[in-house]
Amino acid sequence: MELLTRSEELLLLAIWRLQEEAYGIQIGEELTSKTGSIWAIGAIYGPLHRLEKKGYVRSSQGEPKEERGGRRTVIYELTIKGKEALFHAKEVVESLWANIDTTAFKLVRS
Amino acid sequence: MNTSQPRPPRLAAWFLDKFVDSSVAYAVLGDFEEIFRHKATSKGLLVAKIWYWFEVAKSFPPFLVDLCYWSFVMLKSQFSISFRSGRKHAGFSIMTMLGLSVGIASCLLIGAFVRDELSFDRHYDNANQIFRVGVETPGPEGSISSAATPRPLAELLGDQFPEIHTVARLSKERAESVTVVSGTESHTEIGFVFADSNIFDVFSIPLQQGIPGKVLSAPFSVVITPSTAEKYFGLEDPIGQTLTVRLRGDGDLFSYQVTGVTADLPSQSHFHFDFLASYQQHPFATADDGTERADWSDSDVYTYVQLNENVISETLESKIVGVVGDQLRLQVERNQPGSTLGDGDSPKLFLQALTDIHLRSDLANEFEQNGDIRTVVFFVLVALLILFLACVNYVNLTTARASTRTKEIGIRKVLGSYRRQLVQFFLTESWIQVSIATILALGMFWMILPWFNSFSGKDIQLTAQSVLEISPYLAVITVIVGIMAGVYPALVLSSFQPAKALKGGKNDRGMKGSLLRNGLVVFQFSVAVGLMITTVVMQRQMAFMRSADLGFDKEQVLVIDGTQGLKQQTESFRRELLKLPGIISVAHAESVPGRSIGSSMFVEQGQDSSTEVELSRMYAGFDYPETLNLKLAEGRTFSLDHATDSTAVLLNQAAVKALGITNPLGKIIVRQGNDRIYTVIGVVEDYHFQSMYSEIEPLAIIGPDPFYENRPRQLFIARIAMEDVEQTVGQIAKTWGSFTSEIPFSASFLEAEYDANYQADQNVGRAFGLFTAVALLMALFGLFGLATYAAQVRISEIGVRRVFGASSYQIVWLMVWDFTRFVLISFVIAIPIAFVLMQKWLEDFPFRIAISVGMIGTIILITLASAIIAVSYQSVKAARVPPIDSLKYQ
Repeated sequence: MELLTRSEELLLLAIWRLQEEAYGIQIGEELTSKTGSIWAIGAIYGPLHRLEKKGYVRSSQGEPKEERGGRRTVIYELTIKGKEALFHAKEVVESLWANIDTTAFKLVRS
Repeated sequence: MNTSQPRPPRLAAWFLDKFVDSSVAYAVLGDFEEIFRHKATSKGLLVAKIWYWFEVAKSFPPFLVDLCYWSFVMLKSQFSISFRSGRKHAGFSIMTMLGLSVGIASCLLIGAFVRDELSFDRHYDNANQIFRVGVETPGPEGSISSAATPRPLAELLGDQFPEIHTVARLSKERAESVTVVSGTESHTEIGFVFADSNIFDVFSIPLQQGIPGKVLSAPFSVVITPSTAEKYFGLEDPIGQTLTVRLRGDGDLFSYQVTGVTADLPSQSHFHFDFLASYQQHPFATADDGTERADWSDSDVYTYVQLNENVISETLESKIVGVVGDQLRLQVERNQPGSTLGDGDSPKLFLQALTDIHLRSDLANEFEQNGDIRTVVFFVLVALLILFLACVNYVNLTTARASTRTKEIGIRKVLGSYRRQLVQFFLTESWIQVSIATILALGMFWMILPWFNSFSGKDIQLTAQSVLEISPYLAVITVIVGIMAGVYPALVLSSFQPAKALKGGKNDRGMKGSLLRNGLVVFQFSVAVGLMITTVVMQRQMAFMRSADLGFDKEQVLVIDGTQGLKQQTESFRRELLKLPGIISVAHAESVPGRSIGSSMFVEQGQDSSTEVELSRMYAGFDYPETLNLKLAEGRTFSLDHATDSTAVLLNQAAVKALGITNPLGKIIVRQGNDRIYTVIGVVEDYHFQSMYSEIEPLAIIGPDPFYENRPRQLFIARIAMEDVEQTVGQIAKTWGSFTSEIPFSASFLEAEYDANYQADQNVGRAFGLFTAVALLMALFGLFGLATYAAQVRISEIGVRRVFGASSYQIVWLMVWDFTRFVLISFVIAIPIAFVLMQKWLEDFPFRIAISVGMIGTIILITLASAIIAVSYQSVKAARVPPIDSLKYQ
């Protein structure tokens, strides 16, 4: 299975966490607050569009909202394939972490 | 919706919508608006708007990169497809392209010509504020407008009208030629012009050497052109050198000092000079006390005024008419004592814009032969016609070829091409072709230019700079021709139904399409036939004028100018010439046919002076009528045997008629003014002593009158034998040299000189012939293309016909008739129009040809024959395809 890039992984995780709230601005804010760097709208939709094409997410339209100029929110949710890709990525990372002794590093850091 | 809510900037939102990938645009626009509202409420509307714009601006660069990238990809694929389909029908493509490039090249040629004509005098600074003053003099036969004005006019204008910034005069030496001597060199010059010292203030003529305001301020100073400087002084510095000038034939010598050298002058000026001499103390315009003679009766200078800014020329003109009109009227009254002039009879001044002189002025005494705005308009029309024909051809050929591309179009449609994309595709294809054709056209233009220059008398050059200058025009031509030629095929081709297109059947466009195409064929041939008739009539008229019986023999006649310088030796020179073996006869005279001559009022002796008539008059020596082979109607010519022949006169038949003399021989006529009397000794048949553009006017050829022997302009004519012409001319020159070393020998052939009168019309005619050939060729190209198309569309029909027993001959006839009938229709349209127009054109010629049935018949035959040839090649090919091949898909 193809490995996700880090930004794709973060995007997917954010969408999963946000559940029904997962639309552009919310995703951007979630990622900005968790990573500490700014995620612009433009930087989100490109990868989102690619993820949708790959079949990791699907989009659906919510209720029309007045503050969006009467437009509906476009809500993203993970597909099974998307979730599997996340697990795969997590497993790969964990398997790489497995035999690393981190005690000394943690001691130094604390 | 609550309208009080802040809205993002509409333009920015529109950009965003366009730039963002359409699949996510909806979500992005929504998100942006939400953030915008949030920012607007928390940080103010302005901040929000700035933020919005900033975000949109950020998306510009990637968008542009994207656009360029994909356009390039599309263009590349389009190039290869166009190239492949072009290669598949190489003959067809070459024909399309050649047709277009010939059309564009013709346009370039005409464009260059027109640009040159329109650019006259525009290079002078303040050209819009410079005007020439002309005089309109009423006369018994309508008023005559002249470009030349009286000498003192300039001073009067300068003194009385503050609106005038500068007044300056030019004066061309009236004698046929001026002799300039420098050291041992002596040349006959025709470009000797006098000017006021402030001429450089009016005309910004650049100087290589000398200061514009000062070079002509001293009397007897002269400014020369670089080529003149080289001719007389070679590599020496011309400044300060002296030129000795004999202004009129046998006149005195004057010394002029060179004070300046101009830069090379552009040919687009209504006046030219080789020498520009100071008008101060002009030898013939200066009174004894050194001041200029204030002579109002002689109009021999060109007066130019430069107006101050914001002066309206019309207002000034009417003011000038009021003030100066009185002066002119007084003058006329002084010349003709006892007569008083009404308002309508006095001469009137008028102002002519400098930029109008070359194309819109056709006055008497113009500085040089001007162009004609009608020729320019005419050529522009021809250029547009040819370009249109080329486009029509392109349209016809492309739609015709489209029948072979239906499959491609069908596949494109099935694969999801929108119609808009297909239209774009075909337009781009036509642009590609037009661009290539334009480049080809530039090559053709470059190749044909020297030839074009040689007969149009222009000096048009194609340099890197001029290519750069015209490239915007080329681009515009390319785009416009691309659209004109491409839109119709694009619309037609993109409208094919995929199912139909793919079924394999050729796509016959039905009645509507063919109506348009056939209409275009009719149009093309009408233009071609019309132009052919025009050309043939023009050429015939010119040929007629060249070869018509002029009443004298212009062949083998040599004209030797400047013989007034021989003075008392004139007669002995004549005798010397007669001794030369190659000379048949020689005569001394004032003028030869084709040159202008003076006129006077004459009246029969004893008749009332109210019967006086104006006769052109010319002095001629013995043997003049014989040398020109004039035919004598009655009486005799001048003879040495009659001592009284110094007061004899020969009249032409027109003069006899004008004077109303019934039995002319022995009658005496009186020249009004100086009351000289002449006895009529003979009548010559009318001959064309002017060009054939004018009627034969009454003429008096006056015998060897001593009064006329002092004429400032004299010449010899010699009829020489056919053999060893060069040797004879050489001997004449040698004889001349033994008589005078001061005056250069100058001789020319009468025939060439006389025929030069027709040069301008002949040039136009020749250019016209060229473009007519182009138009006919285009029409034939188009027809050939259509025949090709028809042969493809009707292939199965022809197959079926052959199965049912039609012969090849019948099939070819069927196809040929299908097209020739349109050519026939075009005859019906074009011939009457061209006939009427050319009849009108011919009316300007007093001696003209009739448009004959034969001429038009020949044109019809040629057109029909070439049309049939163009069609039958494809028809024969189609008729020879075995039915088994043409019907195998049915």
